[in-house]
Amino acid sequence: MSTLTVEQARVVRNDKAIVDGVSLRLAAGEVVGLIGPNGAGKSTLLRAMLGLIKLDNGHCQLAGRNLSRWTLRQRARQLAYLPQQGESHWPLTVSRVIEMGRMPHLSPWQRPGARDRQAIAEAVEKTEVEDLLTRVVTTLSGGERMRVNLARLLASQAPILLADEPIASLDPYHQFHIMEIFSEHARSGGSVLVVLHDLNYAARFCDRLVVLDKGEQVAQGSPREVLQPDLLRRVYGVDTRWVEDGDLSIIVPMGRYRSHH
Amino acid sequence: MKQLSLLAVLSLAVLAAFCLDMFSGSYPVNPGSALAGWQQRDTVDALVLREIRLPRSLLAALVGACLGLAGAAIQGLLRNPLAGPGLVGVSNCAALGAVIVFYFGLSGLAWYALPVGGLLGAGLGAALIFFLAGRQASVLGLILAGVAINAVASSLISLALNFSHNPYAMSEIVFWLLGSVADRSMADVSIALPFMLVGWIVLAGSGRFLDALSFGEESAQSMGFSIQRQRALIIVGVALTVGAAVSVSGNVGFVGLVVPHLLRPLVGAEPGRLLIPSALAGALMVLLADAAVQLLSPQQELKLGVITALVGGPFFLWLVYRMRHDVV
Repeated sequence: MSTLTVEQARVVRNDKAIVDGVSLRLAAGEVVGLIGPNGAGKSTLLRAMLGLIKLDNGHCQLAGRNLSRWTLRQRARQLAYLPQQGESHWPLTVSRVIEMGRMPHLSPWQRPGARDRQAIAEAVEKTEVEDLLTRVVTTLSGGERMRVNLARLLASQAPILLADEPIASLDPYHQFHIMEIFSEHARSGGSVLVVLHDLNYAARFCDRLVVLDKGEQVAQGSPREVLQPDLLRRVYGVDTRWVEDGDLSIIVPMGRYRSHH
Repeated sequence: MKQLSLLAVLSLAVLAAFCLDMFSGSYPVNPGSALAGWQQRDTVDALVLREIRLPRSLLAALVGACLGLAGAAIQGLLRNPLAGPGLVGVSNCAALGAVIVFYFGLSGLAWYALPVGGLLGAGLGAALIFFLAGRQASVLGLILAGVAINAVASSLISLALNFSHNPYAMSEIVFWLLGSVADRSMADVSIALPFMLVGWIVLAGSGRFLDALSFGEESAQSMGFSIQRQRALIIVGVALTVGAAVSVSGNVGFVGLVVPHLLRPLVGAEPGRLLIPSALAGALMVLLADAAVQLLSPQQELKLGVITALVGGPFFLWLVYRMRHDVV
């Protein structure tokens, strides 16, 4: 199973380090949450780990081999990217959108075969988009569109998913659904790196959290270790409290932290 | 299967339109006597058909195919149904190249001066786009570069018209710019065809990339495509096809805009599946337009570019009107 690692990653734009000295390892079977305030460099780190942008320093390895030494097609069979907004510029049918997920496996004029259809059927089942297959993707709601895009990624059978704020604009039903699909993906041997803003989803669904602030990695560990009020106050400028109710514990943002100069 | 039947229907229609165009000139050709004398060229009918009509109809089909294909590719690349092959500035540069040939009176020196001038102009235009928009060219950068290049090329064409030595050269330029495939020879076909062929292969091969691009540039890249490479290929393909088309026919507008748009619903809006049907339908549209100019006004012949614009302009208006509802 493939692991994706970055070491001492540094990305500079306009003389400013957007990501600076971040190291993380994404192993098979885990869901890792990437959290941090807006502008912390989460999306940039994700893009660098996908090979969409070059690192100015450090390196990124996929299955022990430098990412830049993989061909784009080989890479596409290992890494799948779920961008923040699922763009769809043309009124394509959902079934064709999902079929296009097989692109990394097909040569330019090749038609999908039995194995491709199998992968597509599994992706459709996992994301529960059976009823949407004949719909036109531009007419779907945000939650439906996210599920369809996720189905497209799963159809590629790439073991590693990198998702940029996939649940930020979804209703709770779809938020749970997307996160459950991620958990299931990890349970079946894949891995997921997901950028999140909702700390409770991060606590509940992630095996490990990585916290970025101003491009630097400020914490890494299990959700319970990481999501501590003093760290969150430092990083987000927000006061938080853990509230326990029986076997349930949730983290509640209390308000903006007001410093006393 | 649906795609195959669409291709079959379009191919048959192109064939029919080709025959219609071949037999719709002012001189009535008897097909029987023309075919009988085809090899020896010993009948007037055969001579007319072979030396005048055939190159004309071939060029109409080739030019139409180029414009339709380039239009579909550029709409896919820019992800905008209102884009056309003229938007990236190459066609105006090709026109400028040809106008310069007219201006310096080179067109009389050799039959190939005009198409070569046009092709050089197109090549220069494409080089300018890369220079202006840069390697990382975004969609906006490409469009802005195209607008700027278009503006410069048209101003230089105006300059050439302004300083034209004699009224004859001037009317020659103006008539050429209106777009036509009349009075061409097989030599024109043979000079344009190699460039067109290469361009077709490049553009037809970009289907998968254009499909992937439906989900945004970063998604396409994560699906295994090099954005820079693919984008450069498409611009080169558009420069080759449109440059070659404009070099032999002048400006035949609106084909590249209208054709992909009409076909889009028939291919499930898939940019990859749109390419080849657009080439066929482009050929069909220009063949029909060329047959129409010959049938409608045999004496003072309407220019091909005028009739495509007369049909395409209102269509464009309707398109904008309809999209207004989508946007709001």
